[in-house]
This record gives sequence, C-alpha cells and structure tokens, in this order.
Amino acid sequence: MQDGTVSARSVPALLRARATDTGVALRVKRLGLWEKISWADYAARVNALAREMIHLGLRPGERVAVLCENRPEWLIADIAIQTAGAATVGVYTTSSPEQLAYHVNHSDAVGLVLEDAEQLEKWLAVRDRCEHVEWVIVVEPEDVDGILAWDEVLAAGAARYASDPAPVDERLAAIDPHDTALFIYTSGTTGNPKGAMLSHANLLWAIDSLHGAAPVKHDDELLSFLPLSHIVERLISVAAPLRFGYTVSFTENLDTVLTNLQEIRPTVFFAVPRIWEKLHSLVELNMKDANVIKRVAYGAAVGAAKGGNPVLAGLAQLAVLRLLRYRLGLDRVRVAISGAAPIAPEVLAYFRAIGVDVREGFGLTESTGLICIHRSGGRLGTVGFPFPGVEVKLADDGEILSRSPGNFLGYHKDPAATAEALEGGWLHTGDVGELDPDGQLRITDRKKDILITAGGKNIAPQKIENQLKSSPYINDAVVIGDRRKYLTALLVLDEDNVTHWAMERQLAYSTYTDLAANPEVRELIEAEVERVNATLARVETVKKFAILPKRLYHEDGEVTATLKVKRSSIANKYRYLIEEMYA
Amino acid sequence: MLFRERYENDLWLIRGSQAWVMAGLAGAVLVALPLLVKGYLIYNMTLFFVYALVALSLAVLVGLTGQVSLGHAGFLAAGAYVTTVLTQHGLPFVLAVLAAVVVSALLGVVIGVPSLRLEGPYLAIATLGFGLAIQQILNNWALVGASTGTLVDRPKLLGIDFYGDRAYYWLVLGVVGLVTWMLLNLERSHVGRAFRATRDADLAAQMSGVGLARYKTLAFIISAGVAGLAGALYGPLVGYITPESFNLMLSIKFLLMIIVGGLGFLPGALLGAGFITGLDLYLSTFRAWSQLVFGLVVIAIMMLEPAGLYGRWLKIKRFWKSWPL
Repeated sequence: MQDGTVSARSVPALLRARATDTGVALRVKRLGLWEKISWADYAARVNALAREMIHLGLRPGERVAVLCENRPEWLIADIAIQTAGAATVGVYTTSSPEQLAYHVNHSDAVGLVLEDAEQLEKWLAVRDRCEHVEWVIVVEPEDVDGILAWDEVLAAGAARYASDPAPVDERLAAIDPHDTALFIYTSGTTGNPKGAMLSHANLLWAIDSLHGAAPVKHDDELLSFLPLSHIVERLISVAAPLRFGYTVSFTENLDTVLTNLQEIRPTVFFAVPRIWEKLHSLVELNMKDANVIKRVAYGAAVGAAKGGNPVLAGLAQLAVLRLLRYRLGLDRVRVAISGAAPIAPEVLAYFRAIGVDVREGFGLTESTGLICIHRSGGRLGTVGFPFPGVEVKLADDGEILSRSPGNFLGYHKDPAATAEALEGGWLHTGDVGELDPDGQLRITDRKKDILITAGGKNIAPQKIENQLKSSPYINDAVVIGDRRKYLTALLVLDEDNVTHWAMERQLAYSTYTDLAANPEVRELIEAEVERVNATLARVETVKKFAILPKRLYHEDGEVTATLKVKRSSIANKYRYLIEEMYA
Repeated sequence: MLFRERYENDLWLIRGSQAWVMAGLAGAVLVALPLLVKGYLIYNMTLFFVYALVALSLAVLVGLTGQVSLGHAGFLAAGAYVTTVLTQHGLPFVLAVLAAVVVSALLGVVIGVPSLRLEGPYLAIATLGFGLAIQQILNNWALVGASTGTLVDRPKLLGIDFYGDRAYYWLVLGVVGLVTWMLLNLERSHVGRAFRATRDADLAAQMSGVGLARYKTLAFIISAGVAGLAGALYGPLVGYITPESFNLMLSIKFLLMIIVGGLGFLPGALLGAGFITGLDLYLSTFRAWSQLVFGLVVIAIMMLEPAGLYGRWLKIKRFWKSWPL
C-alpha cells in the first residue's frame, strides 16, 4: 500500500498517514462482543482530544500523565498529548497514591488522564500536593468536582476541531524528531524511579529496528495486556501499529489474558516470562488432572518433539501439539517474544518443542527497549544478536555497553545519572555478560547483584533464581549469600498451583501465611530446591531456604510495577528470616 | 468460534461450517433413504419418526420440566382417534390434525392442572390412571368401533396422495423435522429456561418470578399437543387402530426411550426413540426371548452410562473438544 509513514517525523504523524487505512485499528471487548475501532475513528478522536487539550492550555514541551489500564483511551490520550507537542508520562496502574504524586510532581505534569473511580480515588488523596496539575480528565467519570468527563471533552474537542483544526495541525507540524515524546519511569529495583526521556526519533528508529529483527505485517494481530507505561508494550501496542497498520486488541483485564488469547489468537505475541511460565504450568497442571489417554498422548508428543526423529516429531505435531497450540491460542503466532526480565531456558525449550518459536529479547528503557534479540531459533541461554542499528560491546569489568539511535535523551532533572548512564557515548546497562564467538550475547547478571561468598567465589544469583522459578510451585526467588559461607534463598509460593496441590491432598489451611508455613508444603518446596541443586555446581547450591509468609506487592515496595523483585527491599524486610538461615 | 463480534450468530441452532456440513449430510441421507431401502424398512423408519415425536413430547415434560408421565399413550390415542373420526366425517386432514392437537392439548390441561400439587411417584400414578381411563373409554365407545377398533386411510394433501409408504415417510419426516426445530428453540428460550428452573429448584424459580403453575401447565399442554400430533400421524401409518394398541406398555416404552437416550436432552429423545424402535425390530426375530433380551440390554445401558446415549456422546465430544488438554 501507499505508505506515508516512512517519512514521518514524529509518532503522531504516523497516525495522520494511517487515517485512510481501511483495516481495523483497535478492538475492545464489551458485553461479550469484540468492537472494532477504525483508523479514521482513532485519528478523529486523537484530533479532538488534542484540540481540547490545547484549548485547556497545554503547551509544547509540557507533560501530561496517564493512569489507566490498557484500553483504546490510553492510546488516544498518548497520541493526542504528543500531537499537542507535549510528552506522555505513563503511570503504572498498580501505583499507590504516593507513587502517583511522585510521578506527577517529578515530571511537572500539567494535566492528568485517569481511568475510573479506583484511580480517581488515588488522585483525590494527593491532589493538594500536586500544584502543577491544571486539569484532570476521567474516562469513566464520577460525581466529583474539578474533573472533566472524557466523553464531554472529546465531544467539545471534536466540535472545536471541526471549526478550527489549525492549532492541532500547526502543533503536529512543529514537532521536531528530537523533541521528547515519552517519559518512561524506570521501575528501578533500587531507589526512586528515574524519568527516562525518549524522543520521537528514538521511537521511530525503534519500531523500524524491531521490524528488521522480527518483521510484522499489515494483517497481524496483537493482544495488548502488559502495562502501557512499559516501553516495550508502548512500542508494540502504540507506535509500531501506526507504522505497520496491524490490529491491537485489548484484554478485558489481567485475569482474562488466557481466555482473550484463545479468542484473538494473535500472530504477534509479546509476554513477560511470568506469562510464559503461567502458560507452561497451566498445561502441566491440566495434564496432571487429565485422563490417562491424554497424559500418555501428551507425554509422548512432547518427548517426540524434543527427540531427534523427524517422522515422530511430525506425527506429534499433527496429532497433539498443533491442537495444543490452538487450545492455548498460540496457533497463529508468527512472532513470539519473551522479554522485560530473564526467562529460564527450560521454559523456552518447552515452547519451542511444542512449536512456538519464542525468542528472548533484551533491552532497557534507556535504549528504547531494544538491544538484543534471538533471530528465529536463537541459542538458548543467550539473548541473541543485537537489533539492527545497535552496537554492543563489553566493558573491562564485563558490563554490557550499547550504542544505538535508540539511546535515550537523559533522565529528567538528573544530569548526574544521565552522564553516568551515557558515559563515553555508550549506554551503560548495569548488566554483566559475555559475547559468544558468533556474537550472541549472554547475560550473567545485574552488575550490582553479583554475590561474592565468604569463600571468595563470584556467583550470579539470577541464573539460580530463574531455575528455581521454573518450578511450577515457586513464583519468585531471591538468592542470598554475599559475604556468607553458603547460599540461601527466600522463596515465594506460586499461589494458584500450590493451592491446587494442597487441595488435592486435602491439607487444612486458612490463609496464605498458613499455607506457606505448612510442613508438607515445605517438603514439596524442598524437593523442588533439591531438583534445582542437582543441576548446579557445589558452590552454587542453595543450602537453606525460607518461604516468605506473604505475597509480594508493588504497593508494599517489594516488587516493581513489572513484578521484578526488589532484592534489597526484600533482604531488609526479611532480615530475620535470613539471619535464621545463617544462625 | 470463541471470537464474537455479533450476538446474532448465536441464534443459529447449527453454528460453524463443519456443523452445517454434518447436518446437511444427515438431512440428505434421511431424505434419500426411501429411494435406497426396502418397503418394510421405510415403514419402520416412519414408525420411528412418530415415536420420536412422542419421545420429544415426553422429553419436554419429564426431561425439561421434571414431571413424570406414565400415560402418554393416552395422548397418542386421543390424537389418533380424533383425526380418524373427523376425517371419516369428511373434515380435511389438515383441519382434523389441528383438531387432534387442540383436543390433546386440552386433555393436557385437564390432567395437568389437577396434577399441579402432585410430584414424583404421585404424579406418575395420576398419569397412569389417565392412560388407563382413555383406553377404557375407547373400549366402550361404539362411535369409534369400541374394542374392535377402526380402519384409517392415508391422507391426501394439496392434491398429493400420501398413500404410498415413501410419500408418507416424507410427510412425517417433514413434520418431525419442523417440530424438532421448534422444540430445540423452545428449549433455548426463556420458556425452556423456566422449565428447567422449575425442574431443578422450584422454590428458587418461584422466588425469581417464574410462575410454577403456569409453566408446569404449559409443559403439559405442549407435551400433550405434540403427542396428539404424533397420534394423528400414527393412525394413517398403521392403517388400523384399536384401544389395545395404546396400552400401558407403550407408555412405559416412551419413558424408556428418553431415559436410554439421555434424560434432560431433547436430542437424547431422538436417539432413544431410534435405539428402542430399532432394538424392538431386531429382537422380534428372537420371539419368546425378545422381551428378556430387551430388558437386559436396557439394564446394561443404564449401568454403563446412566446419562444415556446422548450423555455419553456429550462426554466423547467434550474429551475431543479440549484435546490434548
């Protein structure tokens, strides 16, 4: 097709060029039915909202924060804000009121787009402390003073745009590719989140580079369910569809991801390791309850697929695995990516065996999400080759450095951290790694997480943690051992699976804490730890472990919004458990 | 099939191209059958269709609404006799059939309303009495030939003579197809849901505004009406009806059909009717042993699959539907 998007100078300009596309832009489920939103409609709503935001006084270079679950309004708000020349600050929906206030104040946001009563409540709790905010738009408004209703704002904006589109069109034309488009707050496993600033040029480069490594097509389908405040979801749900014209469908909520997956059967699927692990353990647990014929058929099929015999493998695909993929909603997946956190190679191997070629990617917010990715069938244990346009090298201490047009503009209000991150023109990732002879990157650990035991051994805890996490009964693991005689681990149960296991054995328990303290559960976990220990070198084995008495919450500061464990916070909070293990 | 953009697609009984192909094939086989098989098989297939109608009517009453009837042969008799008498007095066949349906439905009200306070075995006894009473009345009614019975002609409709077995087969097939379609849709309507609510939790249904008296009576009316329609088609098929042909054993056989087929499922009634009719036909060659074998087979099916033939089919379908999970 005629493609006006190649020469676009900004992300919103991509939407302008896409507005005449007759395909489906977005899909959202209402009352059991998937409703379509056309590109023209998408563009019209963006114009209306941008027009109204300009009318409300939004000026180029300012910031507007968005606190909303994944839904079309998020995208419309994002592009409208950028169209008006401002930058969007995405706030994680799990944020506490305090965290919201921090994001709004740190970014000096002048406007705020909220989803519903839940998010509005957070805002009302802290609005006295956020003087910069001039207006608040609520998608599902409540009867509260001082807020604007989304529908009314859009209607007013549409009328204003119809009579006078010039302000919007002028703002759009005036965007320089090096203007800031997004503020992405890096979840930061330590300290306060930092506001990484990404330009239109960063984003435009990133979607083309992504396409270079994992080509997408106009008729592709994507399911959007990971937080849009994260750079990767933003790339694949917002920017790349504008450029390539594929359809984005939104899940109803996080609990319906697996159902929606079966409905949409996406062709492009990006998920964090936790989702892949969930899919994997879903199949495994279903199999435990399945009748004997299905268990045998499944076991034989997975065995044949992993084995070398091409005839048997073909048969397994035909009779079992093809349908298994269909049941999972993965039968149409062409591009499957795991990223945002390291994944256990066992899980990747499993999905490749059942015919889903999951590729692992690696990137930072500061590199616009992209550094390395597996090409088709990339080597397990590595994160593949650099994306097109990315240079990767290792510093003397093994730290991974990268340089690309995706390297960010800097941290907002933090020139010292910016200088440190971009020292010498290279982005310092903070991860330690190795390069295989053919150039595939292998990540060993976070630089600051490397443990040195009392015996002087350097140990990368991440690898051990990932192996522990690949157990269906362990959701999270923190390996401890810096300056200690041996390694220990703090473990978090996988609640669904352990509950299921406990019910099967008719164990009596009342709360999660109770379950975590159950001696039989401890035995179960002990067996899992032993299984992992058997694959590790002696110094790497986990000698003792403790099961945390509670679930980890973002609100409690124990995990980041992307559910990465904040190890220092955990280590502090559960010091008593750790000391017990070394007593 | 999970991906929905319109509710309208859910209105269809048959959904998806695969289902349409299967339904089309089944329909084609049924329509073409008389051209392929011998006369007595055509006759027995037609008999199966008539019985299927009765089984469907009973499935609505017993399976959906949970009201037992041991007197359905009575409604069948009413339908058969009303049609016969009226056509013998010169009424066109179509009108006579309509009258038969109306009379049977009225009988349904007559038996249904007093039975509102009865449940389970008590209702079974009441309907049993109804079936016996009808038989006694016919035995003593000279107008309809009393116990010697009466001859019945095959009808002419719209200038088409349905005298031949083939023609009559197609007529009955058409009627059964239409009624099946209507009842399957009824089952999915609010009426069908009210029926099931009455069956599963009458108190809760009443609390939710489902009038028990109304829906229990309605179930009787529909069931009796359909059974009457079956009777109207039964007479011309067999050619000669006597009160003795509508005995208690027949009522029990209808009940067997829906239980073997799968209680609570309308398609189960069709399967059960086919199975029992076929078994009867096959076992008739065993003469004295036939009743014994019949009983054993039924016991075996109930022991192996209490949910009936259709229940077993659903289990098989579910197994493959989720394969390999």
